[in-house]
Amino acid sequence: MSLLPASLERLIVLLSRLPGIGERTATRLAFAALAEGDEYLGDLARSLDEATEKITYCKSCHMLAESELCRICSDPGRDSRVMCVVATIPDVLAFERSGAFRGRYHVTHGVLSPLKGVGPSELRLHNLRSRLTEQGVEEVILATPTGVEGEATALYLTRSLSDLGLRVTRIATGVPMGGELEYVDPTTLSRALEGRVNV
Amino acid sequence: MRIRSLEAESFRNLEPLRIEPHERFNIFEGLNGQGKTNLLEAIYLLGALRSFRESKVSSLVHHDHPSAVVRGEVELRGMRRRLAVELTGNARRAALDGNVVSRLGAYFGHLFVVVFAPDDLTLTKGSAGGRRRFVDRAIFNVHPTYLDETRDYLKALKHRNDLLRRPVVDPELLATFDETLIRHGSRILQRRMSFLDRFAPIFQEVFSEITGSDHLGEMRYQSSVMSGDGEISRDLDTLRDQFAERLASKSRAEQRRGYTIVGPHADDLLLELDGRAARGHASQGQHRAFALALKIAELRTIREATEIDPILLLDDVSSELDESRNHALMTHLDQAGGQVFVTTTDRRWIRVNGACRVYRVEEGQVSVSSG
Ligand SMILES: Nc1ncnc2c1ncn2[C@@H]1O[C@H](COP(=O)(O)OP(=O)(O)OP(=O)(O)O)[C@@H](O)[C@H]1O
Ligand SMILES: [Mg+2]
Ligand SMILES: [Zn+2]
Repeated sequence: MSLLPASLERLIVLLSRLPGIGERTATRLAFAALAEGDEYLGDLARSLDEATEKITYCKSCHMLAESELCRICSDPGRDSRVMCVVATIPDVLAFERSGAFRGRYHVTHGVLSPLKGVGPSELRLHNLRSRLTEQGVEEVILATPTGVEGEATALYLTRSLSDLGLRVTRIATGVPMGGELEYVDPTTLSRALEGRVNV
Repeated sequence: MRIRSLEAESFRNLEPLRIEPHERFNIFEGLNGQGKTNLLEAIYLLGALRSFRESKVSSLVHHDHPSAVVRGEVELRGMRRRLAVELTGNARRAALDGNVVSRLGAYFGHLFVVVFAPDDLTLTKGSAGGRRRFVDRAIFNVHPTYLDETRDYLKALKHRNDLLRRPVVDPELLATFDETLIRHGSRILQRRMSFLDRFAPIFQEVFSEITGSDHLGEMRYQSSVMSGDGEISRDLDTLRDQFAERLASKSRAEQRRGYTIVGPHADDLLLELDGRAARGHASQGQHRAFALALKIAELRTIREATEIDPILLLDDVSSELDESRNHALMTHLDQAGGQVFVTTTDRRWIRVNGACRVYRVEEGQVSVSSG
C-alpha cells in the first residue's frame, strides 16, 4: 500500500467502505477509474459533487429526493388512500418495478432491533401518524421484512396505529412464482402454509 | 437411508478419505487420538452442517489447510443424492446434487443422523440445557424447519432481555417484544409437545426392555410457561394465551431480574425412576440405562414418524456401558436395521450378528481391514 500515492490510497479506503467491496476490489476499481482517463474522472467527480449537493430525503416519506418532496409524493396521480410502509429505499424500487402499487410509501430506514440500539425513535416514524391522518389514508400496508425484527416492527406499528381506526394489513409471504415446490426451502413453505387464504 | 460413499479432504486429522460403507455395520477400530471420532463428525456434518461436539466450524478444518470438504452419496427410497459441504474458516457452503444452496435451511432433510457419544451418558445427571438440546435435535431430525424456528426464538429472546435490562423502557416497545416472544416461543413449545407425545410412550417401553421391567422410567415436560401441574395446550392459539398469561404474571419478577424467565429456553425434561426424579436418585448404571433408552427411543420415533431408518453414529459408547447394557444395545442394533457407524478401541466390544465391515483408523488414515 505504501507504494501508492496518498490520494489514491485515500480513494481506495473510501471505496472499500461500501458494502460488498473489499480492499482488493476497491484497488481494482480505483485503478480502472484512473485508466479511464481524465474526462471520465472529471465526470465522476462532478456527479459525486452533484449527488452531495442535490440528493436529500423526502420530508414526507423519506425516500430519496431532489427537492423537499420526492417524485412519488409530488405526483397527484398516486392514490393517497393507501400507504405502504417499507424498511428501505430498495424496497420502494422493488414495489415500483412490480407496477402493482399506486399508493404512497413511508420508508422507515431500518427495523426495530433493541440489541443494536434501534428503537422507534431511531426509525423515521415521527411524521407517520400525521401523514396518515392528514392525507386521509384508509389502508396501511406493512411491508417490513419477514425476519424476527421486521415482524416485530410490523407488530409495533399495528399496535401503535390501532387507535386511528384504519385498515392495517401485512403483505403475504410465501412461494415464489414459477418455482417448483420441491425447491422452495422448508421454512418458506411452512410459513406459506400458515398464511394460507380462502379461495 | 444409506450412505453409499463418503469422501473427506482436509477434515480435522483425516487423510484424504474415500470409503464405500457397508449397508449395515461399519466398525472403525483404532487407538486413542487416531481420528475415529473425527470420521463420525464428518458424517454428522454432512447431515446437520455442524459438529456434534462443542466445536466451532473452523476447528473442523485441518490446521495446515485453508478449507475442508466432505462429500457423500446418500440413497433414500431408491433415490440417490449427492451432498457436499465445504468449510472455509467459519463459513459453510452446502451443495445438493452439485448445486450450491443459497439458504442453508434448504439443504436439510436428505440425511438423518443420530449420534450417541459418551457425553450423552450424563444426560439425566447434567443440566437442563443438555436435555433441551437432546429434544431439540431430535425434533430437528424430523422437522428441518425447526432449526430456523429455534434461531428466531432465541433472537426474540435476546431482544427482549436487552429491553428488560434497561432502567426505563417504552412500554409499547416492550409489549411488542412480549408478543414476539410469545409467537416464536409458542411454536417451539408446540413442536416439543407434539414430539414428546409420540416420544414418551416409546421411551417408557424401551426403558423397560433395557432394565428388564424391574423399573419404571418416565418423562415429564416441565414448562416455565405453566404454573404447577397445568397442562400445556396442544392448540396453538390456546397455547399463546397460556404463554401470555404467564408472562404477564411474571412481568415484575422479570423486570427486577432483567431477563426473561418464562419460555421454552427455561424448560426442562424431567426424567423419573419409579416416580422419583432420576437426577438425585438413580444409580450410575440407571443413569446409563436412561441415556441408552433416550437414544434408542429417538431412533424409533424418527423411524415411526418418517418411515426412514436414520444413520446411527455410535462413538465409543460400548466401553462405557456395563455388560448387560451393552448387550441391550447390541440386541437393539441387530433388531433395528439401518446403517450404523461405530467407533471403538477394541472391536470385541461390538458383538452384533449382522454383516459388517471393519476399518482400521491410524493417524488419520482409514483403511478396510475386513468385510
Ligand atoms: N483441525 C485439526 N487439524 C488436525 N488435526 C486435528 C484437528 N482437530 C483434531 N485433530 C487431531 O485429531 C486427533 C483426535 O482425533 P479423534 O478425536 O477422532 O480421536 P479418536 O480416534 O476418536 O480417539 P479416542 O479413542 O481417544 O476418542 C488428535 O490427534 C487431534 O490432534
Ligand atoms: Mg473419540
Ligand atoms: Zn416522498
